[in-house]
Amino acid sequence: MPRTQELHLNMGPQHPSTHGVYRCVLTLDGETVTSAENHIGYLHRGIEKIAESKTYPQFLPYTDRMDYLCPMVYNQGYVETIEIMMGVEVPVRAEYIRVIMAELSRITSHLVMVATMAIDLSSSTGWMYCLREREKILDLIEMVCGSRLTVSYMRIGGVSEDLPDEFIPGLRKFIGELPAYLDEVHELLTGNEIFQARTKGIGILPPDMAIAYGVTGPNLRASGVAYDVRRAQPYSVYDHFNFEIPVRFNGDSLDRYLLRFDEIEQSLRIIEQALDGLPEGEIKGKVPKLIKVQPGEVYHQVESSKGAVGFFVVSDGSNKPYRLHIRGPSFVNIGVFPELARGWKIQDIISILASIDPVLGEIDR
Amino acid sequence: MGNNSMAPGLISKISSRYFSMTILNDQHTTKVQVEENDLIYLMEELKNDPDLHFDLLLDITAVDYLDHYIVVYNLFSLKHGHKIMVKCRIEHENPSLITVSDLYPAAEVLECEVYDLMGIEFVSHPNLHRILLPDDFEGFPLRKDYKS
Repeated sequence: MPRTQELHLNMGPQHPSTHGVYRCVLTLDGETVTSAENHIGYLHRGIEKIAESKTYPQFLPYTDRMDYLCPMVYNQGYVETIEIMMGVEVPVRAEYIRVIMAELSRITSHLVMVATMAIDLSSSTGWMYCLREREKILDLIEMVCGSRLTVSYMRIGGVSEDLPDEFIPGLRKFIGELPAYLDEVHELLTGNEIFQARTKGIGILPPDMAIAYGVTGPNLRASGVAYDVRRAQPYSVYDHFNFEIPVRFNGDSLDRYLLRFDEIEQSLRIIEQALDGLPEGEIKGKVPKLIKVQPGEVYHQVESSKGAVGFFVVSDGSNKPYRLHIRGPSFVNIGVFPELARGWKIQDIISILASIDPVLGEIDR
Repeated sequence: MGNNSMAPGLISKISSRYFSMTILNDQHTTKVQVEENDLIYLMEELKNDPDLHFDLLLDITAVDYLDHYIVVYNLFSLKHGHKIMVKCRIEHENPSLITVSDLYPAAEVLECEVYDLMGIEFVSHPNLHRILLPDDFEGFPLRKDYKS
């Protein structure tokens, strides 16, 4: 087969399909990618080092800024880690509110994934419809904590505010309407022939490769491995609810995309059950004014919209962490991208990257 | 909290074979610590023994304890649903450790991060480089003696 001259192409850091400041150096043979190299770190803020000079409550706002598309889950993971170390009892009402907010965050994040994937494959319709729905959730989140993205809503021992009166009717109305809107997205986008051609059978991630590279979250489940921290290592009150862990088996871009819809469906189920069972009571447990953590260490995991988030906190007994490490699932997920990209055409790379759904805030930390 | 700790019999089964291994379990996690010479053999066994079957490497990180470093590995078994934390103590002078990226490709990026921020060399790593910080950055910011 005739070969063309090898060409290096920088995709990013200022490229709309990289979802932030991520650069990928592609080596091309004609239009085929022979190798890809990740260049990350453009957004590195040294959050783990900052943590060592902040008290435990002061660090909470930094957790929002890791995965800014799914901030509630990061809030939850962080406060739970500290609660485990301190042995704090969290009131059941607070746990239920946390689950509702975390699942809402997960839905917004998945909607953004679908929206960005649509616009990367040049369908602005998909983008508009998904962001319109996301806007409604952000309004609900704003109603509760006054902020849309950088929520800082949870506290060690509970949450900062109780749900306002208009929240529950608003949320019930929203979860009643969302499935019909999602069907609309399926009609306008998923069924589109061009969209199918650009995603079906593209960027296949075999399950053994996904596990070897530590891929977690929807990307792993789209390859047929049913690993979800909410089920495998249950935290908070997730064991109170009936929900399924959706799995798909082709491991291609289309399955990774469709799996997000399956997950939104399950999140709605969880929210409905949590609203029905929402108990009365306190929203904050008994926590000392000055938060000190006894010496020790804990590695705690939660499931965000991108995969398994890990918090590793080492305490020396003072009011600041001695060492705090965060496992950002996107950081590990993007590690498989060079393997996944090899052998595909440039336009497929866009679809593969969009289907992995990396968020640079948590990659670079 | 779910119970994902390992059956006690499994730990004693492996611990008898590693002279340097100490068990540091607490109420939350199964934890073991080994010397650096034993690490790669232990990791190999954790991955390949059918009763243990730790196929998912979740995380690698390191802690600076002023006179030594502890490198921390977190593993999970998809088959058995149990998890383990493996720690390895290394010297503070010219810290280095063997890579586990042959066993777990996930370690490639995770070890780069530890190298970048904590300055621990991973021997025979295929492509150890500064992953988050610029290539010409001086020093390792997560070390306790780092002055910005």
